[in-house]
Amino acid sequence: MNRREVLALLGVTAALPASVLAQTNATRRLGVLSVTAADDAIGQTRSAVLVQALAGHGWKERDNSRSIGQRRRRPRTDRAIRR
Amino acid sequence: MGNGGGDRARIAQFADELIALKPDILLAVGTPSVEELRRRTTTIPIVFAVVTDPVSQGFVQNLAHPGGNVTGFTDYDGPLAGKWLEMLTQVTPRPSRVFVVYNPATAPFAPLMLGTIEDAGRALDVTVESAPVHDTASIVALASRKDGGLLVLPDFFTMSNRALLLAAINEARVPAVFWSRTFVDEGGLMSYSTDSAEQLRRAASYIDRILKGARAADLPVQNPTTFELAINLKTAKAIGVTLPPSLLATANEVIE
Repeated sequence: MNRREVLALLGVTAALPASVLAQTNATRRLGVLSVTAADDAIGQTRSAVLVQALAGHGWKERDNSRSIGQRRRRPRTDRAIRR
Repeated sequence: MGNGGGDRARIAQFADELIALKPDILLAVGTPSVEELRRRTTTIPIVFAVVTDPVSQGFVQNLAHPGGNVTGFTDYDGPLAGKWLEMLTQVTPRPSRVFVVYNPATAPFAPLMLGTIEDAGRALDVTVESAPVHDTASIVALASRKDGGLLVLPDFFTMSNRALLLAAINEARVPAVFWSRTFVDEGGLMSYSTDSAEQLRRAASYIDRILKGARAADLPVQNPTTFELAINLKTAKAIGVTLPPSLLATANEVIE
C-alpha cells in the first residue's frame, strides 16, 4: 500500500487555518482543526454550517481570511488537506 | 506504530501550525483534534464538537464545570449505544449475534460504548463481539461475517472508509446499524445518530461567548439534544430483511 492509499484510507485531517473573524470593533483569530476526509462532503457541509452559525452571532470572515487559507494550502496538494 | 500513528502525526503537524498562528480561540472537531490541541496549549480556549466522552479522556474535569481551557459539545449520550443494538434486534430475521466494528487506534472511547452494548446484549439476549478494523484487508474481511448483524461505531476511520465498509457489509448481506445518516444515504441499512450540524451551531455560540469574555472553564459541556433515525428500505429489500412498522414510524428519513 503506497502512502497515497494510506492517506485516503485514513481520510482525515483538514486544518482550517486561522480564520480572521471580524465583528464591530473587534477582530479575532479562530483556528479550526478537524478530522474529515479532504474530498468528503461532510467536511464541506460542516465548514458551511460553522461559517453561517458564526455569522448568525455577528462574526464574519474578513475578506482576506479565505486568501490566507488558500495560500497556506497550496504547498500541500495531497488530498488530506482542504481549506 | 500502525496506520493510526501516521495519521496522528499529520494531525499533530496541523496542530503545531495552528498554535504557531497564535489564534484567540480554537475549534476542535473530533477527538484526535482535541487531544493534539490541548497538549499544546493550556491558555488558548478550545471549543470542541463531535467528541465522545470528554471526561474519561481527561479533556474536562466534569461536564458541568470543565475547569480548564476546554469545553464543547459531545456527540454521544449513553442510551445511544443500546439503541443501536435494539434496532438490530428488531430486524427480521433477528440476528442472535452482533459484531461491533471500529478501529481501536481512532476510537479510543470504544470500550465505553462496548460496555453499554454488552449490557444491552445481555438484556436483549444477543451475543456481542468486537470486530476491530484497521486497514483495507480487515474491512474487506467483514464480507465473510455472515452469521450476525453489524454495529458500526462512531469513528472517523469508519466514516472515511465507508465506501469500502458498505461494499463489504452489503456483500455479506447482513443487517447493519450505523452512527451517521451518511452511511444510510449511501446504501447502509439504518442509522441512529446525533446531528453534527447542530453541534457546530452550538459550538459557534460558545465561540461567540468566549470571544466576548466568557471563560471556557465556566461553560458546561453539553450532550446532544436531537437524534435522527434513518432507514434504507431499498437495502432492506436487497439483503432480504424486514423492519417492523413501529421502527419505520419513528424514522426521520426512509429511503424507498
